[in-house]
Amino acid sequence: MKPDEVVIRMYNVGHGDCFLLSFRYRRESRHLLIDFGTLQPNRREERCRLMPVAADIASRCTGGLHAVVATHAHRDHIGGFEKLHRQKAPGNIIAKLHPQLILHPAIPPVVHHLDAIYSVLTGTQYSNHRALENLRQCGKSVNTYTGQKTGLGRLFPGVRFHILGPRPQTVNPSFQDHSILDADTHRLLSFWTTQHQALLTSRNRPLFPHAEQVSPRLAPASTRWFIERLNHLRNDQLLQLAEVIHTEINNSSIILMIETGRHQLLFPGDAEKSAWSFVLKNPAHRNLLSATTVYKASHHGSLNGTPDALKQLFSPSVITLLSARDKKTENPLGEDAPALDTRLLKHGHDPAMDLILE
Amino acid sequence: MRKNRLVTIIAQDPSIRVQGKILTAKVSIPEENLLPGPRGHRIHVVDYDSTTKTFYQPSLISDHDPFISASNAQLLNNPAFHAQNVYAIITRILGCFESALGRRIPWSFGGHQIKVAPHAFSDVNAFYSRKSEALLFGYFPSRNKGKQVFTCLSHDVIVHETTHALLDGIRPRLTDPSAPDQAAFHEGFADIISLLSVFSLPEIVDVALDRKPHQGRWQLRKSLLLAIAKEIGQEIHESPARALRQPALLHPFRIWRQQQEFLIPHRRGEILVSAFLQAFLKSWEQRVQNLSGIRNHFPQRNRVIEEGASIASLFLTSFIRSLDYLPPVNLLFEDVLTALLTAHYESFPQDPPLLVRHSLREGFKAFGIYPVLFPESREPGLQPVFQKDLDYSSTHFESMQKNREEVHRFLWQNRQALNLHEHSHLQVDSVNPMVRPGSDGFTRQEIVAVYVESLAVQAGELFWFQPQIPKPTEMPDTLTVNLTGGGTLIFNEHGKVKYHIRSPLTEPSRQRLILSYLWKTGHYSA
Repeated sequence: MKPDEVVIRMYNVGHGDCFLLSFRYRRESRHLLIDFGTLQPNRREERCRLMPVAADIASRCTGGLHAVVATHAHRDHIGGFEKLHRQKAPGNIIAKLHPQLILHPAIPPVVHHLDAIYSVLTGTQYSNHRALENLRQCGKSVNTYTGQKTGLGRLFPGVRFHILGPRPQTVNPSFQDHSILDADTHRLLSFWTTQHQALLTSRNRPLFPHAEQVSPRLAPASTRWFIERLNHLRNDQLLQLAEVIHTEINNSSIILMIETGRHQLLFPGDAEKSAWSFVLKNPAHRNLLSATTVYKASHHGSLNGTPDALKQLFSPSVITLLSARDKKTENPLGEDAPALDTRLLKHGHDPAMDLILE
Repeated sequence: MRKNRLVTIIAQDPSIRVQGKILTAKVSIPEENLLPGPRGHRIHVVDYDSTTKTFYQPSLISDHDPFISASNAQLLNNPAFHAQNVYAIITRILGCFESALGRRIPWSFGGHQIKVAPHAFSDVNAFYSRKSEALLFGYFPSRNKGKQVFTCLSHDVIVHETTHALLDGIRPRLTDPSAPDQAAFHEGFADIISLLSVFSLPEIVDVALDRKPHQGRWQLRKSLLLAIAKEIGQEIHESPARALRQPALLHPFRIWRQQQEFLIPHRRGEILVSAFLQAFLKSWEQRVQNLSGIRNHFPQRNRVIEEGASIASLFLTSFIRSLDYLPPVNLLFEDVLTALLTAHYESFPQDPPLLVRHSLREGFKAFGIYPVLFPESREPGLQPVFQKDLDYSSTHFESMQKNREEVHRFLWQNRQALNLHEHSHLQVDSVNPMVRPGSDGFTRQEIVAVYVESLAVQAGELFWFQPQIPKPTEMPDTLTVNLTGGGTLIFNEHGKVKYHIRSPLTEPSRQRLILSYLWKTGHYSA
């Protein structure tokens, strides 16, 4: 049994990804949802945007939702699954479709540790573990990484699925320290794993509680400029930490290649350079990538989402699905290359556009 | 006569203890009119912790050092001691530089006081920031629960970061993009000054001998006392025997240039440090042998300690002086060795009985680094004395001693004789006096003038240079590349050019190396 056609429905969720792939067989349709998120799902206007999307998905999946792929743990990809306990939450509508299989990547250990440090330092958590936890409760969930068998093939007969990334869960080497302490990145990371607990206990308490202190506002005038500068530097450090977590999570994206008929559909989440360099080292993966016909532009079309080495493998006829970040983002495969761009939907009434592949 | 005060510092870091007591040392620093901070004319300690938003009451360094016999807990838990520790170590190393170079050293940011934050933030980090005009030291929780590790208590970390700041003040262009040796030099130089600064304390040499008594050079090299950031390394590596960097343990080998890991500045810098340490330890060994007279008969312990600290001081001074004999841009390790040999020759023309220059040549040779060879040198590897006739008629030496415009006029007048490029943008960066004791016992005053040439051309035009400068094959012809070169002129006390130390703008081998490295590392794609 093979599908006669595939419809890729690309939803306008603001800044975020949501794709419903409907494989149409002679007697039925089977559905795969890839990501369901927007950047700020807790903002009312964004939630309002997600509700009709969830309703539309439900109306199309009358026979049930067969599988969900959550490419990675960022809000703009899985934020729709936050607050499932609320009856009217969009994620709840999806949960009620009882997906038979949920694929998601493992959160890299380094992200857990960095995130813990970040939350101690700022009082907020950077990554989006809660939505992932909620999603796991909706059905059978599987942590996946490159080369693994996923079980998707059984749910979608006649379709082949390849997981090209992420790499098996190890510490990602993209964390770099520029100081005198950059001698051994991995050891530094392992060091941090034991440090965050200590940070939890010492949070915001002065190092020397018995030493005489002065309110920074009453510090000598000659020091105030510098105190201000140190506070800025501290903020920069936090920003750097946030960037590291952000990149690590992007690079944990499931890179999914779907072979159906004469089409090869590539959904890489927000994979960035480091993730691609791992994928491109494998000759079999390079072969698969070179036959791509539809490409969901990684990381919303940003430059580091589609490195040159990947672009060079694609043929000029590859269709790009672009859930663009802003007005400045362009199709990474070139301005004149064929593309479907969610920005085209912004002022229209349709919440989505379809790409039908026979 | 200038007054000094003796203050207590931590000799290396709190992990080095003798009979359970943190090893401290007394160092002499110039007395000055201090304000609370401490805040002197060059250094201002501001003890603000940006993680906990705590500002500690500024402290003074008292005439009667209260920390002479302080307990471990007092040293570790009193922010006033931490402030004293950073202030004294930075002042000491600044004094070493000024005394070696015979002049005041400016900070690169233009102000006169560098800010020092001993507890800047919670982080496994310490760094110099030109933009913040500051040295920033972090702290972090130790694996021993409830304890903290303070980078502001690590002598070598403080000296390392201070050296970056001083080097930036003396040669600000050494942080410009160039061949990998240049960034590695910044790191290696800072490590060497750190090691020598620690080792020039007799208290440290004493401990080094206690731990590895008379077991030869290799045993001493294994000592953690010849390593960088012991306490921090031990925390990170979970091993009491690991420092952050142990360049002394690097076995000599010559193929490091082919290895990717030695493109990282810290790692590449270790080559420089290791070559230098080879020479240092060999010279010390030589000195001890000379003292004993007979092999295998060890001389008095006190003399060995004294000699160890004294030879560390001598190497420290020579290495700092070598800065004045370096080209200002596009540095290669070969230039560093030539500068070292020349600086040492200028102070000690007669090398024996120390054989310091011989040890240096041998130490670097073990890593495949050879000095630039000039046929006319007085000794292998020395910078040759400048011999060409120059036109001094239109410049005034009195004015040239302090005026960059006057030096520029001199350069302009002698462009051809000095081999300057006809179309380059020429700029004199600095003119400084260099006052040093001469070998005849008299004080000698010379002038160091540093100039830089730059030229923006399209990559395709490199083909037309004479001699031709090869560009990386993939580099587009239309890409604009900025070639730089420059030189250091040393004028003798009679106003004549004694040395012209160059990194020529049109030297094909050097420029090819730089272009190829910058192209590979994405400098031009940015």
